[in-house]
Amino acid sequence: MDTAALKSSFGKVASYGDEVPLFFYSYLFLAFPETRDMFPASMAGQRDRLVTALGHIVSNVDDTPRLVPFLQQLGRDHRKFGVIAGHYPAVGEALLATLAHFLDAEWTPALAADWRAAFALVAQVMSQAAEDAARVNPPWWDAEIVGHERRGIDVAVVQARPQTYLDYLPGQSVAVESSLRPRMWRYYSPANAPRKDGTIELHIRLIEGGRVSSALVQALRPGDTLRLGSPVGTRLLLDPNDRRDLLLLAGGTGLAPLRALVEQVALEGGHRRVTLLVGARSGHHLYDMPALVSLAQTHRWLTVVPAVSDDPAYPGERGHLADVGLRLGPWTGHRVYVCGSPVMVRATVDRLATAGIAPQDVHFEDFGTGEGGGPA
Amino acid sequence: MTTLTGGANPPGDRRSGPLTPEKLRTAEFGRAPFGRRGYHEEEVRGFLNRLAEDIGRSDAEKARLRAEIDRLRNYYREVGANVDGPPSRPAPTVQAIAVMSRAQQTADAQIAQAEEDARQLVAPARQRHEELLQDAQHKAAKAADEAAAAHQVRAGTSTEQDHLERRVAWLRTFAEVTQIQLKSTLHALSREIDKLGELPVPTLADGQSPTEPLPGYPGVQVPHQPPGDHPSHQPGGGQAHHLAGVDQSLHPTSGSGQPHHASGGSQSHHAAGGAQSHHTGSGGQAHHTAAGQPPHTAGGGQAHTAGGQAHTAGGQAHHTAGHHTVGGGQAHTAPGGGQPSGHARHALSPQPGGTPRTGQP
Repeated sequence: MDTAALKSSFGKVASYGDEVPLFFYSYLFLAFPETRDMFPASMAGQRDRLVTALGHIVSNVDDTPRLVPFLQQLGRDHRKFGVIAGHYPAVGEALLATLAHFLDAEWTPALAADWRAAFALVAQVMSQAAEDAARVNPPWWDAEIVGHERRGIDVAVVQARPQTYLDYLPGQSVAVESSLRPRMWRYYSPANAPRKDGTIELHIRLIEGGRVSSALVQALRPGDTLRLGSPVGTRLLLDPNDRRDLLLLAGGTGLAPLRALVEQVALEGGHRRVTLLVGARSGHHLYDMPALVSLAQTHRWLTVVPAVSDDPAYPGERGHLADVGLRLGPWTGHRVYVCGSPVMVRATVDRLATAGIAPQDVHFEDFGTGEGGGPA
Repeated sequence: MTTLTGGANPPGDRRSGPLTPEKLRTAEFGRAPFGRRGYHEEEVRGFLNRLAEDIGRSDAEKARLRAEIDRLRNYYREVGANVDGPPSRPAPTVQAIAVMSRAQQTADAQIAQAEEDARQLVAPARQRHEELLQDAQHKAAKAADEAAAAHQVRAGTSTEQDHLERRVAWLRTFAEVTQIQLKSTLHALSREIDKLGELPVPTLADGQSPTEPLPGYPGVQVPHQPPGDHPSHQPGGGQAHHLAGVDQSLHPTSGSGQPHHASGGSQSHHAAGGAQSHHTGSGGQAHHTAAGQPPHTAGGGQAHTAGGQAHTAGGQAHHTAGHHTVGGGQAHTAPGGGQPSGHARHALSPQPGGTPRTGQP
C-alpha cells in the first residue's frame, strides 16, 4: 500500500472543503437510502466530523499503534448509531466514489486499489472492535428518567437509571440521545461516581438555541427514556498511582465530572485533600450548592469554594475561576482538573500556565473530538 | 350483507388455503335471512367467474415469468455474473448527487436559521431575567440593611422606637411587595421562555418535594439540609475558605409567615413562625455571620446569607451561613458589616420564634 499516495490524494480531495462530505453523504443516501435514518436532519456538523475523522485516519495511516486504538474506539462508538458490519461496504463504495469524483483523472486503478485496501483494513478493525464490544456491552443503554429537577432557568439535574448496569469511571462522559431529538447525540458527564443502584446524575445546561439541550432541560420528564452510549474519555480520570492533592476548577455544568471525582476520592477513603472551586456568572447560577455543601460537610478533606465572575454584589469570592484559584494558592504538589465551557477551559488553562503551574499537572478535556451527532 | 355459512369451506375462510379459480367458481353463500336484502345471485356468480379467470391468467403469467427469470439467471451464470448477491444498484449520477446536496444544504441552512432565531428570542429574555433577579436581590438586601440599621439604634426613646418600628414595618411591606411582583414577573417570564422552545412548560405540582427548586427561578432553592447544618469550613493552612449556600439568596415567597409556594399547601419545610437564627458560636472564635453584603429577603422569605471569605489572623475562622426565617409579623435584621466580635452578633427580630442554634464548627 502506497501510503504517501493515500495522503497526497486525500490532501487534494480535502482541499475542496465541504463539497467533499456533501458529495459523500449524498452518494451514500442515494445509493443506500436505508443509511439516512442513522443521521440527524441537519448534516452540517456531521460533514465536518467525517472529514476530521478521515483526516485523522489518513494522516496516521502508517502509524499503526496510534491508528488502531482510534479505529477501535470509532468502531465501538458507532454501535450506538445502529451501525452494523453490513453497512461498511456501503460506506466504502460512497467513499471511493467520492474520491474518484474529486480526483478525476488522477484516480488511477493503482490508487483505487490502494484506497480499497486501506478502507477494507479500516472497516475490518472497526467492525472487529464493535464485535468484541458486543460481547461485553449492549450497543447503547436505555435509561429511564427517574428525576428531573430544574435548577434555575437554564440548568436541569437529571437522574437516569440505565436498564442494565452502565459502568464508567468518574470523569468520563457518555453520549446521550433523547427520542425528543432523535439522532442527535450529545456528550454529558455523570456527576456521580458509579452507584450501587446504577443511577447516574447528569447536569444539563440549556444552550441558547440548542435543540438538544433545550429539550433535555425543558421537555424531558420522569418516565422518559434516554439512550446512553459507551463511556468515553481519559483526560479527566484520576491516576490511580498518583496520590497528590487535587485542585478542581469547575465552570457551570463542568462541575459534573469534577463532582464525580470528589465522590471517587471519597470512595477511595479520602486520602487526599481536594479543593473544589465552583464558578458561575452570579450566585444564583451556582446550581448544585446543596449537594456540594453536603459533601463538604461529610468529608473534612474537601473544601468547596464558590466563586462568581459577573456580580459585583456577590458576598463571596469574585472573579475568574483561575484568578480565584491562584489567589487561594499556591498549589505546588497538586494535580489540577479544569472543566467547563471550551472558552472557560481555554482561558483557565492559559492563566494557570502563565502562573507557572506545570502543564502536565493540568488535566482538561480536549474539545477537538467529541460532540457526536451521528456516525462519521 | 350476505352471510357466509355452511359448507366445509366457507368462501371467506382463510383456513381453507389460498383461493383458486376453482374455489371461486364453486363458492357457496348462505341465504340472507328472511326480510333482509341480498345481492343479485346471478351478478355475484358472474363476478366470481370473472375473478376466477383473472386469477387463472395471472397464475399462468407467474409461471411464464419464473421460467424467464430462470432462463436469465442461467444466462448470467454462464457469462460469469453473480446474480445471487444483493441486486446491484446503479450508481447515483452526479446530477442526482448535486440535487441531493442542494436539498441537504437548504435543510441545514433552515435548521441553522431556526436555531439562530430561537437564540435571538431567548437571549434578551434571559438577560432580562438576570437583571430582574439581581435587581431584586440588591433591593431586598438594601431593605434588610436598612431594617438592620434601624434596629441597631434601638436605644432611642419610645417615640423614636415607634418611628423605627413603623419604618421597619414599611420596609418589610415594601420587600414583600417587591417579592410578589418579582415572583409573578419571573414566573411569567420563565413561562414565556419555555414557550419559545415550543415545549411543555414545567408545572409545579401540588405536593412537590420541598427540596425541589421552583421551576424557572434561578438560584431559588429551599435548602436541602436543615437550617444550621451548613458547614463551616475548617480552613487548612491559613486559608479560610468560605462555603455556604450562597445561591439561596432569594426565595420567591409571598405573604409573611405562610408556608409559601404558589401551590400553597403541603410544604412545611419552612413553615411559619419559626424565626431562627443559626450561627456558630462559642468563645474566643471569630464569627462571621453574613459578612459582606448579605442578600436578604424580608417578609416571609428565607434569606440565606453567606459571608465572603473570612480571614482571621492567626486563628480559625468559623463561618456560618445564616439562615433567617422570618416569622409572621416580625422584622428581621442582619448585622451589617461583618465585624468579628466575641459573641454572636445577630440582630434578631423582637421576638424570635426559635432559639439560635449552634452550627457546626
